[in-house]
Amino acid sequence: MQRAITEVILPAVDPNNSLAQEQTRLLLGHLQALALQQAYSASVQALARHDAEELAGALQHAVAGGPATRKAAEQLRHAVAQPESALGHALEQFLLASADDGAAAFIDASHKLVLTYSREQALRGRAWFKAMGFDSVPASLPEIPQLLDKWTESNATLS
Amino acid sequence: MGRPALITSFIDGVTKLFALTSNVSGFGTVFPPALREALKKPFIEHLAAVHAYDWHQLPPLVFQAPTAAPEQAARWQVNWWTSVWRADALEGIPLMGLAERWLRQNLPAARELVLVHSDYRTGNYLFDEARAEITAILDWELVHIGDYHQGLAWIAIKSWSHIEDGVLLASGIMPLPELLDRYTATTGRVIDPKTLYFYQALGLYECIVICLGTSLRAAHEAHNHQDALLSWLAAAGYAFMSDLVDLLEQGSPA
Repeated sequence: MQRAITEVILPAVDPNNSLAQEQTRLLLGHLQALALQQAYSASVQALARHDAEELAGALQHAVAGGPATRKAAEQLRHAVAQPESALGHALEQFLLASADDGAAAFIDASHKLVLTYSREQALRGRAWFKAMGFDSVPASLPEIPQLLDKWTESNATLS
Repeated sequence: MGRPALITSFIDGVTKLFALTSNVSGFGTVFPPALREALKKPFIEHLAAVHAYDWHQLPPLVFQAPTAAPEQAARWQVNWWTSVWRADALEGIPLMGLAERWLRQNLPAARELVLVHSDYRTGNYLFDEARAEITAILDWELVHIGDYHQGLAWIAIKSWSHIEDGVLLASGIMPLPELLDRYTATTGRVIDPKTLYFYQALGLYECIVICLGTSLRAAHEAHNHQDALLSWLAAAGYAFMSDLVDLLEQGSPA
């Protein structure tokens, strides 16, 4: 499909039609990125899930506060068994609930825990979408197989 | 937006130089030094002109002024963008919960309310390269009455800026300290570092909402003729996340 776009479709698109030119190049870019990502999709999702569960566990371990915070912590505990999208929403809600009556020590601890998690999440997303060309320092980003190797090595060390 | 419209005139200009390589919507634009230098003055003058507009003349039902409390300008913006996130996010992101908590706990008081364009940056104005003039300002859909720091913080977001020799050139034109100095010299308005920091954080939060919330939602539900562009734009969300993590780790200035 990439070759069809490059060799047949793109040359036939009016060079003065900038919207059609851009749309065609965007489609080509999507296909190129998908081709690079396809082999790693399931492994990256598993890594994302693992990290989100670890964050949920660490936050529950550190939790301290009033009824709103404790209730949200209980909801988070149930969400760990849910799909990743629900877990992400539960993590967000937990953090927002802690604004009401979370203990100062928990606010501080959760701030650090979430930033550490988010740095890894952002790095994974930036590496995953490096081919899209948005990153200001693409050379500093690992390749996806490197990220997965690092995860495998750290799991092996722990087990 | 699905309503009748009338084209009354045409304005010359481009959003990016033909010879330049850049991504969509002004991302990754690198101006040649001579053009960068020539754009400094008009860029600040147009920003100052927008901020100088007497918003009291605007229809109050369309442009509501956040005058009930000093923090209302910031609170309304946080309310707006967090509600957009809740409506559009396909999946939750812990950083967004953390950022919202931080934003709500650190709302700054506005020193002066101005008309804020909200998306004034490289990529959103037309310019005439030969004359080095800005000929039109685009994309007014987020315009509102708010804090002038919001507009300044937005200009310096990394994705549409350029880093040269380790220095971030805001919107690819000038270093942030120079931008702030020129703005103060032109308008007389003082820059509060803590307020600027708040709006830098809010700006990055907005960018994540736009990329990982609204763009993905619109593409997912095929609401827009720009599906290919919007799903492409979503990828930028992770660079904004990274920048927001850096900013929140750095902490607000004392």
